[in-house]
Amino acid sequence: MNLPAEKSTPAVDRLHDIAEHVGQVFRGKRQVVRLTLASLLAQGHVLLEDVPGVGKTTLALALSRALGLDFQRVQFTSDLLPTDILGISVFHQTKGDFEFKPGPIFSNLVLADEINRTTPRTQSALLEAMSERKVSVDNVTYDLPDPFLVIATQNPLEHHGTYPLPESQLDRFLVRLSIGYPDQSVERDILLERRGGNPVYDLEPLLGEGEFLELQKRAEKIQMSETIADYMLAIVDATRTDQRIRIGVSTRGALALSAASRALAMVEGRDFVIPDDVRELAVPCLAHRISLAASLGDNSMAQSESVLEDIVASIQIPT
Amino acid sequence: MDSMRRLNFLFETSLYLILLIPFGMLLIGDSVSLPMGIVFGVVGLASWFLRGGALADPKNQKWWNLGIMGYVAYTMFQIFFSDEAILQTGINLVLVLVLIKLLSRAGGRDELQLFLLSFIMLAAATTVNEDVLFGVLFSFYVLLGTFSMAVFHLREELSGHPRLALRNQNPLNRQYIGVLAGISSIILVLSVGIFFTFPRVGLGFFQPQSRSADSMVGFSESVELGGHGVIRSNPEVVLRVEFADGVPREDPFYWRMMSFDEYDGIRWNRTLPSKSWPLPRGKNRVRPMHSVFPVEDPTLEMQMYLEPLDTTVLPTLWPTKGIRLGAGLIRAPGAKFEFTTPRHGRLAIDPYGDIHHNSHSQLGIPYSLWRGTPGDEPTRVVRAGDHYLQLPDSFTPRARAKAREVAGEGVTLARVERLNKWFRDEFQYTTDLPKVGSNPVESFLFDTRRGHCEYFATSMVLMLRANGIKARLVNGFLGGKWNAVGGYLAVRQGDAHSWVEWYDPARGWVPTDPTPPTESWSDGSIGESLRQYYDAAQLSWTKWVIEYDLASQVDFFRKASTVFRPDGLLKGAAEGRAEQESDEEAFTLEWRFVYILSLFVFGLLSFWRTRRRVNRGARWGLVAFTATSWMTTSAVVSMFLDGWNPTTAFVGAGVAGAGALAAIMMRGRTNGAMLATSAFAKVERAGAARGIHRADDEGPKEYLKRLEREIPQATSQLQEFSRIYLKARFSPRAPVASEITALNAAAKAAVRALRR
Repeated sequence: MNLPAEKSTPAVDRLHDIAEHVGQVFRGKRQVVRLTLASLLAQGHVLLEDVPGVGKTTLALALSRALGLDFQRVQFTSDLLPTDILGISVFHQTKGDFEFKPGPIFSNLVLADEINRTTPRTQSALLEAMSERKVSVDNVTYDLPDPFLVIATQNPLEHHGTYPLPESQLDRFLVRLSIGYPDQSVERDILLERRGGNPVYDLEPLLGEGEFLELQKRAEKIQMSETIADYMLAIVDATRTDQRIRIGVSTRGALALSAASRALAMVEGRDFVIPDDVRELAVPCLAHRISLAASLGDNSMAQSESVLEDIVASIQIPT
Repeated sequence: MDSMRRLNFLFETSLYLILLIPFGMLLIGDSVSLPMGIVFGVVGLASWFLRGGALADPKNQKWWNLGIMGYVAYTMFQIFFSDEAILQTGINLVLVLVLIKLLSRAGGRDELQLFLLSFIMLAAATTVNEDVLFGVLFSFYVLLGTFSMAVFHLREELSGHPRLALRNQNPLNRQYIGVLAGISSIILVLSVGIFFTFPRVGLGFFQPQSRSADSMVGFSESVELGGHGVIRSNPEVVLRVEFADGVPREDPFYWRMMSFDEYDGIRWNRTLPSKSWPLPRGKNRVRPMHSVFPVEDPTLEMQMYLEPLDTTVLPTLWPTKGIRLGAGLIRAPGAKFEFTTPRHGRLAIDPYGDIHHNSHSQLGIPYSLWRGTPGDEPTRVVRAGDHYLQLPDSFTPRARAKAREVAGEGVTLARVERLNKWFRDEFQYTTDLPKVGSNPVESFLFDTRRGHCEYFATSMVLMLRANGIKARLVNGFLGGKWNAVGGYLAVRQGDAHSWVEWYDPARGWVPTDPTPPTESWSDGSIGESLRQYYDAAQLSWTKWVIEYDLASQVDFFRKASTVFRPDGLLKGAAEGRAEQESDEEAFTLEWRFVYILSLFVFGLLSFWRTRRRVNRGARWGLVAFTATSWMTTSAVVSMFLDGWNPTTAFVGAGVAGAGALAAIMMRGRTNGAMLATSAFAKVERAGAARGIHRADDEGPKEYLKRLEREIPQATSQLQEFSRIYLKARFSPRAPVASEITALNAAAKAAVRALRR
């Protein structure tokens, strides 16, 4: 596939192309691509919760290639140790000193596959690195590369031998998305067209050195009117007073929603946020930040998303 | 939903209060009959507890409507077939409607009707009550009205969108109440401002208003001896007097009203034909009473406010040099001109020389009075007839002999004074009347030697007549109480007094008072000083609200400009008088008129422009702009009335400019968003007309995209509209005028495309 990199245009104008191109590779899932891209531009980590085989890895890889970021993948297993991802100090015989061998986390985009399969100890090592953007090994602190973004996946259907992430740690992810199966027509095209290798490897970077960082900074400057802020607060407040919810969205959650909305507005080519941005992001951005009342049974993704969807649907959108 | 319950309670309370205030006004105005008042009170109270019950069931509504129709029919019958006053039946109808609505109300619509009824009650109350208390209650009404309407709206919104109720734990937090109170106050201030600045022409419709006339003893065609004593301690004020020179330093004033000539042994009568001659209209500001005194140098000028009395006689002073109806003396210090008050009504003089007015106003009479000095010589004296020597049969020879003995010999004045002195020395004043026989004068003179002013005056008149001196009895008021709060003299009913006038062929009727001086009565309590405050407020109310007309208005502005002028406080008053010149005045007056007119035209034009430019929905901009025009007008008018002056011009222009700038900025900020919203609403309506409805939570962009998909031929217009609308509505930067124009055009195009 020939994808011309029009690097002469400003980076922000190429965002749309990036979404397009990744969308061509990652068929039929435009919205997931847009939201993931927005989340990364808002300097937020993404949690993909889905069954295996729907293309989580493809998405991460495609984005990393299109955005010109280096990429590492870590498969989480129950015997994975923190040092396996962070890195380890080993004794260097010739130098006679300890030398730090950086782990796979030292990368711009890290795909943490099946994060709930590993022990809480390893999970928290990753999550701490995600929020601090640095790691400490043997009392020495190493800065992670900038940008540093994590796309974690987990399989919601597996229960045996898994360690579900606690709410406080779910908070570290800006959005939680599920990909779902593609449409039948799309799937048919995939079957017919896909021969040989994954087309992801044909993707050429559309962003140059440092341009992604610039875009991240630019996203912070996207404007948001008071109307939009009020709309966000209406949603957030509603989660705090609803009977079905035990713990509502925190201020950090509200901030996450606004950051993601700004970034999505930029992806859409606007320099201001519109209610549609907020509406689209409300559930992905907030559903994993609430915990449902005990009477509603388990705290599953489907449950909390449907409650949140219900709440958001009841709030009048500003026009 | 605790906050919702609190909101409901607040609304209910304010709704009942907003109905109670005008009802109270009607009560004070004495236009609610006792049974009606009781029914209203009881049923109103019951409705508080019964609200929302079975009575308000939709099934019962038709019975309520039947009830309403029945009562309307009954009212019609009353108006056409009975002699019940229309106003009264109207008020009853409104009260009954209020009760029915209170009992049957089932929602916002009924509550809105209740607000309307409350307003009608208020309007009715203005015709029956114009006391200062009305003003106070009216202020409350305005404050509370704004508040309860806001609460009403809030409640309606919240019940329509229950989700909004969750937005805030308490929709009535302190900030909200504060803002609401602020808005209410602003509205109150604005309405007061409009009241004072809106041009007045005359009293017009207010004329037939009725203020219950005070019934007074002593001013009818015949007066029985001994009637005065009972009102001696009545503190109700009948006359208020403002003096042009501030506080008068004088003996108590004798406010003379009515003269009597014939005494039949028990009562005083007026025997002269009851006709009167109009007083000539003077070219000068004073209507001269040529028959009594020439107008030359009046020593004392005063502005009187007479409460409505059941007599047409006006209190005057001896010797009165001039009298004029109207409130001409309401003038600010330093005022350059005097405006004659165009007040209808004329003055007339009757054969006794008492002054009458023929004004039908029941609001009380304002008039100006000029008094000379007692030494002034009249140009012409009206001859007094021999009936002023009439003596009743009951005046015994013993009394005649006593009269001659006390008076002695000499000139008339000396004899009058000897008699006067005799009464003052030998007799005692008391309001505690001793028992008198069938001949009160006889027993007063020889037995009790105690009594009140009527006994003194009657006996004195008879004794003067026995001496061949023409004399008559005069009823009126003595003195009054100085109200330090308002700076005027308040004459009370309890100041009623009788004294004597004797006829001097050279000077005419001369007053003399045989009653020994008594302590001026006053209870000196806190109640007294409170009453002074209330009475002062009453006078201000009369002056600035009831009697407020064009002249007072011009005067008000002059006052304001004097205060705001930088040098006005120091020398404005002093120089104001010195520099006046009549030609100059006429010139400025004309210019003033032209200027005000042009400002008015300018204001209208700019209002119209604003309307055209920003379309509907741009209320805030309009309000700001109107306020600015208003401010400019007021500032410039007040400035102009005091002569052109660079400082005031600069200040005025600055204020106007700042206001206009604020208006423009506000318009840009809020209106862009509001205009965009209303433009979107148009497109949405057009979409809904095509069967594509937007859900409450569907974003505008999403909806417009859906419209594109459903109605592909409108795609380009919708895309254009979407682009412009989203930017105008949600970008924090205010849209510029060209963007607003483009927005409207795009909306129009999109709507047209959708309709195709």
